[in-house]
Amino acid sequence: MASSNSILLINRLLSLKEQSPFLLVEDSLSQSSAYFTQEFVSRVPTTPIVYLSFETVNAPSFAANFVQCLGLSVEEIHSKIESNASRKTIVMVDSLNYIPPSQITKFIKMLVHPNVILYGVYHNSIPHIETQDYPSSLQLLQFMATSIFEIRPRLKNMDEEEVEHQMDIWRFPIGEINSSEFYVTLTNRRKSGRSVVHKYEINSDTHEITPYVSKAKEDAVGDEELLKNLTTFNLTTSTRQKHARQEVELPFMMAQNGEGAVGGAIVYQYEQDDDYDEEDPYEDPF
Amino acid sequence: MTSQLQQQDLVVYNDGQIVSEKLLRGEYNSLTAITHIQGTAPSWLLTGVAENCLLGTCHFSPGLGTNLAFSANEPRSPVLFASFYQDAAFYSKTWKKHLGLDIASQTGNARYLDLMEELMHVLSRGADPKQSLKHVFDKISTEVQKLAAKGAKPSLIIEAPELLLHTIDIEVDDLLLSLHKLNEKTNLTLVMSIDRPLIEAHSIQDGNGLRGKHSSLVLKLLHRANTIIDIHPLETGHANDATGVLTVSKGPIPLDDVKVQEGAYLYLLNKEGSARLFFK
Repeated sequence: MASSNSILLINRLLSLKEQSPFLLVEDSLSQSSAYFTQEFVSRVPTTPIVYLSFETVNAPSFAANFVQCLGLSVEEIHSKIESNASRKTIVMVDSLNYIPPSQITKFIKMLVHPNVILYGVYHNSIPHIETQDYPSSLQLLQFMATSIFEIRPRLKNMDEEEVEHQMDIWRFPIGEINSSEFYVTLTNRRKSGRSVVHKYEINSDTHEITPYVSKAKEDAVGDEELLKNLTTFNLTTSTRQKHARQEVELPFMMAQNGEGAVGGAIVYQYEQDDDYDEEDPYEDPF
Repeated sequence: MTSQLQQQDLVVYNDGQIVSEKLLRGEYNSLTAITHIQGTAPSWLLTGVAENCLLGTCHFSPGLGTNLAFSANEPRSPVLFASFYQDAAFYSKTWKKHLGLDIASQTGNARYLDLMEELMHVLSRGADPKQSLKHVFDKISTEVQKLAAKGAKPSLIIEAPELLLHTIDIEVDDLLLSLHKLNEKTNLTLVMSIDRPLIEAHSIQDGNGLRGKHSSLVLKLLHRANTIIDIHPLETGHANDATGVLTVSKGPIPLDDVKVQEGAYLYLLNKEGSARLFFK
């Protein structure tokens, strides 16, 4: 049920049926957003796209209006965008990394309009300039965005840590990065302020979107499955029972706060019914 | 170890080429990033790329054979090689040997530009950094136009553009804009150094510092690349029968008409600077 809801949500967001005026896409050198953008564009064939290019050399075929923005000020960029207030339009920014943090809110504010869906890409691999007493561009964008899509590679033979290490030392793993199959973590903010997080696996070649279940979670489900039909007793635990079990405070947790918590000393506290014997050879030397 | 292995051809695209025919003929302007570190200088590879663009052959990929359809006068694609790092004399011997061309002639379909000399010449006349940048890129642009006038789309190889950031006080985006304009007219190959002391991977403390500028330039360019070719030393240290590792991987921008053939090779350079490749 939950998975069908999550699929419905991403399908509605990508076909612009769900109200979400600012879609932020975070990618990296290991998994580019280009494939996700292709998927998005394939689902909105009739909506005109204004493409603001900071790094794209070849105008994409889907762009109704291609604007070269590198080297222009925020005001100059805005003046170049033809506004058609009566029709729903997508404004796509290929990289928000080129806007300085002090200008990013102004840039977003200028583009936002009731009929505009802003689709902006931010490359997490490009190092951000640390500024004192001011948030980074990414923090500001995450604050303003109504939906955030974080793109991660779908690794075949390596684990995430290994790939991260390789990328850190400037090695580009063969056959693992920039594939048309990738993972997306969606954070969607509702009008109420509540945000929901879902994970998906996307294949942009087959246009297939499936909910992503992590390996650990899959294994846990597997254990429950194994217990089914073994006996007439109910051996499984419900979600409510699991939650209640997590809430129980275990007795040894209390001991961590007592006298013995420091230095590893053995502390024995006499209780009311204990018989204390001064001659006892086994008494606690402390 | 490698001497017993069979020599392999370098294949970058799934049509079996180092520079795909579809990229040379199509309207799409590609960007290839070649990254290296100190100790794995890519001059042998660049000569091979220039040879493949011009003649369709490559001296370290014998499988490509001798392509009689192309010559220096009737090239596969005209080539402009612009270097901020090496002067013409450095490449003259290998160009003569593998491309059959005199690098100093500056005529025909393969040209060489010594940009550092050009830059020093402008700076000595007291030009400000932005003027110097414009002068250098105007020079490249003029040469590109001369080659484009002959009909085919030129292939442009720029070696060590990051040295401009080290030499004159310019912004990263100014340099990116200049490169962007050249990429609009050519298939561009950029050769960049990614030595770790020059790169800050996650955040930049000082945006105007050299490390910050270098990191920002390299990473922004890598994000625009269709293909990334990296050469690095062996992780196991020095070996007599292998000089380093070459990897071909997909860049963040996918290509429509042709696919990058990802792969890793060991390469061995001999004393004359010729290379042999083996599967890793």
